[in-house]
Parts: sequence; structure tokens; C-alpha cells
Amino acid sequence: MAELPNTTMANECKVKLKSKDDKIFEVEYAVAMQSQTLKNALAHTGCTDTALPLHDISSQILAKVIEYCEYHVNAANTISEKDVKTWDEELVKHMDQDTLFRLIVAAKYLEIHNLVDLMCKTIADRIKDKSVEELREIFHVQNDFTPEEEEQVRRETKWAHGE
Amino acid sequence: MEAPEEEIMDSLWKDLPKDIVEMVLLFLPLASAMQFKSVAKEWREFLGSNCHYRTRSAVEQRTPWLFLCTSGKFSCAFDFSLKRWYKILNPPLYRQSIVSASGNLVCLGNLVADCRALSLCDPVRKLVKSLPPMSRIQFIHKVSLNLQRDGAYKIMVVGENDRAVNNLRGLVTEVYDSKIEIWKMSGETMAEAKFGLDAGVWINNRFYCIVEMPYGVVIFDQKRDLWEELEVKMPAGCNDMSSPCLVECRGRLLLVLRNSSTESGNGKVQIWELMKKRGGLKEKKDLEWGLLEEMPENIEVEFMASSRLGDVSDRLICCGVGEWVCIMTQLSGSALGFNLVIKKWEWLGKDPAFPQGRTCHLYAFPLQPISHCQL
Repeated sequence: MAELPNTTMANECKVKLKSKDDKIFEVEYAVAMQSQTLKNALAHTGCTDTALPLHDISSQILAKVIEYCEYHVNAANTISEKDVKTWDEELVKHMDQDTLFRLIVAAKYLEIHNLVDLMCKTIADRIKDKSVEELREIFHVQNDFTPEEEEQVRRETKWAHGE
Repeated sequence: MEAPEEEIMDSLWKDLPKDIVEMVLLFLPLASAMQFKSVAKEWREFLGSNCHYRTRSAVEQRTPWLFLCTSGKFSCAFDFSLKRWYKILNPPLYRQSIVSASGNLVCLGNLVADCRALSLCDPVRKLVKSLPPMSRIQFIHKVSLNLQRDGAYKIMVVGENDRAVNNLRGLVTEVYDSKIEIWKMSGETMAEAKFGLDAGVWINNRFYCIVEMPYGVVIFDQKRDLWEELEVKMPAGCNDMSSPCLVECRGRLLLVLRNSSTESGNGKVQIWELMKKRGGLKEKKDLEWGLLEEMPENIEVEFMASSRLGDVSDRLICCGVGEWVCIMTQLSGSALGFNLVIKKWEWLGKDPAFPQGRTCHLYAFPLQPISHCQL
């Protein structure tokens, strides 16, 4: 799985990341490898002292991403499923919408699959109980159904509208 | 995950890239996703597409529905994410009711009268498929559907031959293989076994169910095509009054019963687990039933009050749904859940059909709607 030529290098290599606002973050190689994007980039450059520029990610968001990756790098092997779940929930629990938004975009860009899933689930949970009208407002979508068409869609999914 | 109450969503979400919006929709519970089809034409198209369905079922392990097969027009489904009950139309098949379920499919048949052919149904997509008749079985004693990861399925049936013609003593077993679409007789004939009323569970292609008189567990090994007895002593206090049910949760075999023995139970509802003997040898066969959890007093009082477990007409109905052990009774409305991971008891509310739909034998199954099997 390691792209670097030998494991000692992999153990010692530190990856440097530069945020949009020019702040440098240094992470362990294994931590960075959770990002498919970084993994591909490092496969080309090898272990380098040059910081990888992340033009669209602010330092605040990058710090959160790193926090997530540092916790998860060993989670699968050493931490119980229950504890990982609790940690994830705590991370997103009081997250404001702006952070949620920017974090999911960053996670998608960096291709950190677990984090993308966590973000998707968090946003899905916040909208799952909302009405159709509210969804249209949130995502700025026009209702392009005629009244008859709308009635038909409702009828098709009758059970889902509950009691 | 608890969402903040009454949250007003900012206008920034309109700038969320379309591919991310589509991913978010994959994580919605099915009922929400179906409701949101009404948002706009593009949403309706996406949420109803095969691509969406396929990717949905590939997404992280979602907790299935608790599916209560009540008789009558509807069955009821409980969604753990939305904490709501839904009514799902029962397929209108003559003289057939739901007898088993696996993945997104339910199996229909008749357990009280002559039944030579079964049907399969996807109750959410409203698709029904008739299966070819069984080769010999005419009266079903036990039936169970097992959906595999690749979307193929097997159905195991134990039953009797044509009673008039029959010289052959004992019950025969037939297995239907969806890959070749035929019923195959199992080599094994069972001596007359009295099966319990629970539906039984599959773990690693082995089917476990309860037999009575005396109480025990038998296993049908599908790969080796044979029946064996679980050579493990049942918990003390397992008898006619205890209504034992086998439950499967995340590959663990559990037994729920009302322990009427005065030394070990005192009428309490208990959850036992089949586990390796403490300090025993590392051989696979060294197993015992260990007490995992007992219903706490305050919950038990309420549970007993709404049921009639004291008399023989009521019985426990249990099944495993994700990490939840779900416990109900034939005659009471309220469903109870015990979460194995966080060790918490929670009331799941009354199913909307109650008190109707309880006259016939009640079954409960985990159902994963829009899962991977295409009928």
C-alpha cells in the first residue's frame, strides 16, 4: 500500500500541507495517506520538504481535517467501534453550518472517504425531518411540477408520508 | 445522531456542488428520500433511479427497518433513524402471508394449510415473484429465506409430503437456489421434530431454530446439507412458559426468553448469548449460553403491564435489527429495543396497526428496504 520505496522512509516522512491562508501544517505520512488525493500527489513527488498547497482549504478547516485523520489513522485496530462512533458524533455535534459546508467540500476534494461519509450523514440527519418546501428553500430549487404531477408523485410514495 | 431541533438552514447550501448533494441524499432514511422526490423533477428522477438505489445499498451499513408482519392490509415498519412507524401494504396474495424475510425481500406462504408454492416480494418496490412449486413438500413446518451478499438467495423449507400417499416417516427438507431456479431435496430426513414458533436465524449460511420437547436448538448447515443439534444446555428456566426466541445481531447468536425459574429468573425477560466457555479449551465446540442482559425493573413493569405473558395466549416476538434486539409480544402494542453496543433500553412506540393485525401469528424481521436483490 505504501508508495514510498521502503518502510523506514514511510515511517520517518513528514508531509507538509499549506492552507489557503499560507499556514503550514505537518503530519505523519500515515495520517496523510487517508486522503486519496494526497496519496496520489505524493506518489509523484515522493517524500518532499515542499509543502503541498491546498488552495481552497482554510487553516481552520484543514486543522479539523487533520484532527479527524490523526484520530482515525489507528482507530480501526485499536479503538472500539463504540468509542469511534462517539468521537465522530462529538466532532460534528455542535458544528455550525458554515464549518459543515466547508468541511464536506474539503473532505471531498481530499477524497477522505470516511470523513465524506460522516459529513454526508450529518447533513442528511439535519434535513431528514424537514418538509419538501423547506428543502426547496435550503437548496434553492424551483418547484417545476404542475399540481397534477406533484399529486401523482405523492401518490407514488404514499407510504413515506406516514400517518 | 440527534439533529439540532428546529434548525434554520443557512442560504449557503444552495452553493453545495450537485455531486455532493446527491451523496447527502444517499444517506437519508428511505422514507425521507421518497418524500423528497416531490422537491423537483430532477430530484424525482435521481431519487427514483436505479443508480441511486444501487449506490444506496452499497453505502455504509444502515440499520434496517424493524418489520412487523401484521395480518390484514398493512404490515408495519419502524425506522430507527427517523424514530417513526410506517405502514407498508401487504401484497394481496390469496391465502398467503409473510413467513420469512431477508435483505429487502419477504417470502410468502401458508403455514396452516396445504402450501406447495411460495412467493417472493419486495414490499417497497411492490414487486412480486411466484416461485416454482416444491418437489415434495405439501405442508410446511419451517421456512426461511436467506439472501446472500451477491443478491442470490436460498430458501430452506422443512415439511411433510403429501399426507395421504406418504409412507415415509419424518420431515423432509428442500432448498431452493435462485441461481439455478430449482428446488433440491436435502439428503436428510428428520425424525419428527416439533419446531418452536420463532422464525429462526441465519448465521454464516447455517440456520438456527428452536425445537420443543425438550427445548433445544437445531441447525441446518446449508453447505454440508445436514441437520445437527446444538449440543449446549439451554438456560435453566427455559420451558413452555418462557417463550424462547433466537435472535441474530451482528453475527452473534442470542436467545431471548422469559425466565420463569425462581432461582435464576423470577419471571424476568432475559437476553442470553451463545459464547465460548470461560476458561474452556479453545475448541469451537466449547460453548455455553451466558446471560448478557436482564430487563431492568422499571422497564419490566411497563412491559409486563401491557402484555399477557403470564398466560399461554401471549408470547414473545423478537428479532435482531442492526445492533438492536427488538422485543414485542403477540398481544401487546409497544415494541422495546435493547442496543447491544451502547447497552441501552429504549421504547420504540406502538405500531400503527395495533390493535388490529394481531389475530394471526405475528412475525418480526429486519428488512433493509432498497437493498441489493433485484426481483
